[in-house]
Amino acid sequence: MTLLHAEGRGSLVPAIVWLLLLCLCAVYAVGKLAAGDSVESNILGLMPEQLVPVQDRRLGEQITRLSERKFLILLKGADSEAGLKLAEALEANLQKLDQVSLATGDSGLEQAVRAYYFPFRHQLLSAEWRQKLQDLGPQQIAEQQLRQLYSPVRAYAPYRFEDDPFNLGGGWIQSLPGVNRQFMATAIPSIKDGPDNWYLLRGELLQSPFALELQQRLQTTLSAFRQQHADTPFELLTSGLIFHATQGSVLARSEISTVGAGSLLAVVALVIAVFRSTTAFFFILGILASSTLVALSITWLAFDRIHLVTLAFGSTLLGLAADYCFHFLVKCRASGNPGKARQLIFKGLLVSCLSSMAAYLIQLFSPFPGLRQFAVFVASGLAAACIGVLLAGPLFRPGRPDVVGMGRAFVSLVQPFYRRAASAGLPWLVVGLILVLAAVFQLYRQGVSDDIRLLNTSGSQLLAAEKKVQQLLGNIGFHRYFLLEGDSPEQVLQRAEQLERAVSARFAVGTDPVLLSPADAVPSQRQQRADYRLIGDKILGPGGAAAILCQALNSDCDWLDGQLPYNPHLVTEEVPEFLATVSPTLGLLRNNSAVVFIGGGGLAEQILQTDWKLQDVAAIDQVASLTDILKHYRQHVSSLLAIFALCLFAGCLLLFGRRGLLVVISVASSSLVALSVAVDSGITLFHILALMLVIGIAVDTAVFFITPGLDADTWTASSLACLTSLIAFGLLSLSQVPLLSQFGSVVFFGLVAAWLITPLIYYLFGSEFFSHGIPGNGPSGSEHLQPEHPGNATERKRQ
Amino acid sequence: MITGSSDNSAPGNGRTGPAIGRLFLLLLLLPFLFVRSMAAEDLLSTLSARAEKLDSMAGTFTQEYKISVLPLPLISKGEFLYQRQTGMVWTTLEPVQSRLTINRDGIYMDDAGSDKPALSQPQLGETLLALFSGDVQTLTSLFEIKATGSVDDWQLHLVPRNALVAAQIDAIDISGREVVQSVTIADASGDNTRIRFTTVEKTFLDD
Repeated sequence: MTLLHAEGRGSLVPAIVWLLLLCLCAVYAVGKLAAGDSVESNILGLMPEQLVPVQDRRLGEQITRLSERKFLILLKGADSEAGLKLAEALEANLQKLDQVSLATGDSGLEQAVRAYYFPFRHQLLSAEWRQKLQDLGPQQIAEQQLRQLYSPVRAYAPYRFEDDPFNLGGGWIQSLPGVNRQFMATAIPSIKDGPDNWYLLRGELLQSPFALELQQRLQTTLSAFRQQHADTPFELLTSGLIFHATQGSVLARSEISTVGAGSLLAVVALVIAVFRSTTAFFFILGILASSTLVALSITWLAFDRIHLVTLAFGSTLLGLAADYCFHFLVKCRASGNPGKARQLIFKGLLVSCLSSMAAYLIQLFSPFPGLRQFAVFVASGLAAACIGVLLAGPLFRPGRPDVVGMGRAFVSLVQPFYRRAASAGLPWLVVGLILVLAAVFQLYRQGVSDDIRLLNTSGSQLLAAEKKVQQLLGNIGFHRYFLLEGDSPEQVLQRAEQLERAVSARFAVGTDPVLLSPADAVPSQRQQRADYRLIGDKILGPGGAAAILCQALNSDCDWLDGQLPYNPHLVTEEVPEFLATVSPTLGLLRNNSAVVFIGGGGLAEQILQTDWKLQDVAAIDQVASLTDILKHYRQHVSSLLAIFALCLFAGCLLLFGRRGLLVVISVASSSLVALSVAVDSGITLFHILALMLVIGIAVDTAVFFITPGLDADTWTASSLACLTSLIAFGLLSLSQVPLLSQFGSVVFFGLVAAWLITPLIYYLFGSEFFSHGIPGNGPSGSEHLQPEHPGNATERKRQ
Repeated sequence: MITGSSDNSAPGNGRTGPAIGRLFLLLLLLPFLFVRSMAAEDLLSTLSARAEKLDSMAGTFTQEYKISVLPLPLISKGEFLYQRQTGMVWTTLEPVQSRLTINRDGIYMDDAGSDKPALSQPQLGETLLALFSGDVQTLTSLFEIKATGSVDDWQLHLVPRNALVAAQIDAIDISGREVVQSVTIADASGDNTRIRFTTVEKTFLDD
């Protein structure tokens, strides 16, 4: 086969125009790549935007940022001292990283915090102290304090004895949300876990955790540290979105290269083995390259950035685009006439391409931006492949009609096998019915599954590390919280305090904080005034505990100045920025909103599910919300699928008449087989989305069997196409990303089913049923090679 | 990091002389300094090994808490009982009565004012136990330790490693013979606490 002959010159002009368009795409794509930032790795970018169900988008972003930029690393060595040395070495390495701010163990923040709260020390009470002052009288409070003074245990005391003899300030600062009293005061804070000592390194990213370059630098630093200390026994646990994002990116990159390279290699191997022609090889290579180029350009135009997972999905395009090439090449080889080959496959190619595109583009209705991108990517790539084949195909030089080797297998093995099998009509019908019932029962037994956690791309090691860190640090989860709103920061704070009171009244959980509220750092003015009065009544006022303590200490207490005047300046509007380090949600108060995070491990769910009957307080569980969204969209997409299938069936029956039944039965049986075999723990949204593609592929196969008709060439082309797609989707089904794996396995089994079942149905109905009077279904170049089957002769005699 | 107790402060005694003479003197002293330094580390190792063998001890204590604004120190007396397995019971008998149980789970205060023990920070409990028993290994992760003296009459000077603790505590001095005899805590505010122990009974795992 060679390119460019006299007859093909009519196609030259459109081909040149197409080439120019491809050049434009190439220039655009190179420009995008050179500009950088054209690829996205944010796994959350695949998720619907309703992660934070708040109207105010800026507020939603702030809430997301609160949790996504922080990270923690816990490290333990063979013993406490070895662990400390390793932690210090790692800290030094991390401090060198750009765009990473490491919380150092210096006392600067503590000094700033204690200095800030000093003027307010007579109007702030920790919950523990408040309870104590409410429950006890001045005499009892003084006695307890006296016992405390005589005990060997010294509590943290930020202020001098004369400024704060009851150490209310110590209680207050230790109750701040960012203070964890579980930590040992080692050079780098550490926490005991049985006999182990875990050292904690805390950090914050100064840019998005999805910045690929930042992910790479952090990963390199940790890997270098591991290598550097390969001979030293140590364990390192990480927690934070950046580590999950990094793993997601690494995984996506590896999947893209595996699936892409696998598909490409399969195509190359098949072309070399089947066609033994460099022209055919370059033709396929050109079509694959141009379809990828168009897919990239259109996706960039539509979405500005391409997600790595979209690329991983999209790499299956190579297998699909190769299908069209195979159909053309087989017909061209068989007829020796490229123009005729194009004519033969024209209708089938168009119907197949359009139905596949429709199957993909229906995913535009999906809530997942990643899938929308995928749909645009593959649909545009398929369109480009189809146009490419139709335009470049006729440019082939006509040659002597020849037979593709695989076609002989059809004639000698496949066709007789199917004919023999089809001759036993009734048993097949019974077997088919049993299989259908079994598949339906299997699907019914599996049920559905919408849990968003099943889509997690993080490996089990990373998830275990995250769980361990959470357990050590008190199980504060950033995906479950209360969202409070009000008319003013003061009102929001009052609601937060009301909520805290209600929760602690219902769930007594010792001294561990259950809720992390901004009111823990800046109480409402109402609360501050109440505490001011309480401190005056019970401690600093006349007859208060302070006077009784002085008496017990035999001191005239001339150093005690009494209660300071009330200070109204501890308000949201006036808090310094560094306080956000202690209470990260303080910033939200300026929007008259507050987020109260929930700790307490197993209690969190109970707390969240309880109806607290408080105004403008909404319980948010992002996991549950996303699971609900998935459920909603699974139902939505299933309905769409049903409508799409019905329209498709109707369209095929209208277009092909009774022959359309081949499409209907092939699609229905392939879909049923694909779902029942591929689903192992409930049908998910992604199984349904993959079913769209199975429908597209099954239509593809069936349509080419109708037009130009099932013969050695068509079967060869379908088999080659199926083989390349099988490799692409088979590789995808082995993906570690659940979403990709679910998608890949449904399509894989759908392909196998369509490839095996469609010829059987074709022969079950009788080849005459489908081939009689097919417009444009002239004899192909290889039909003369097919021996007359006895079954065919008998059928003709009957007619 | 364990710091040796070598007295390596500059010999700035005002003596003048040729530089070469001082260098010679320093070279002469070097082996001695080295031996002293090794001895300090040995001392810590010995104390650490001894602390590991300490099974129990009981006795009395006197605590003096000096607060700068109070004219007199707050003096309290009582009994203590340390047991390797269960921790320490600290019973203050005068001038107030209270009972503290310190173990690796935390600190429980059992006093007349409350009917149930209050659980405090477990890490503080571990630190206090290490201080009272002379558990050098645990203390090393929390403090820079300088050891002086001999195995029979030793002193440890502890400086907090953690900057936040250093903002509260300047240093802790522990002295002892076979077991800890006194602990002095110097607060950054200028206040300080001194606890003296009179041990009447002790057992080691070897006994």
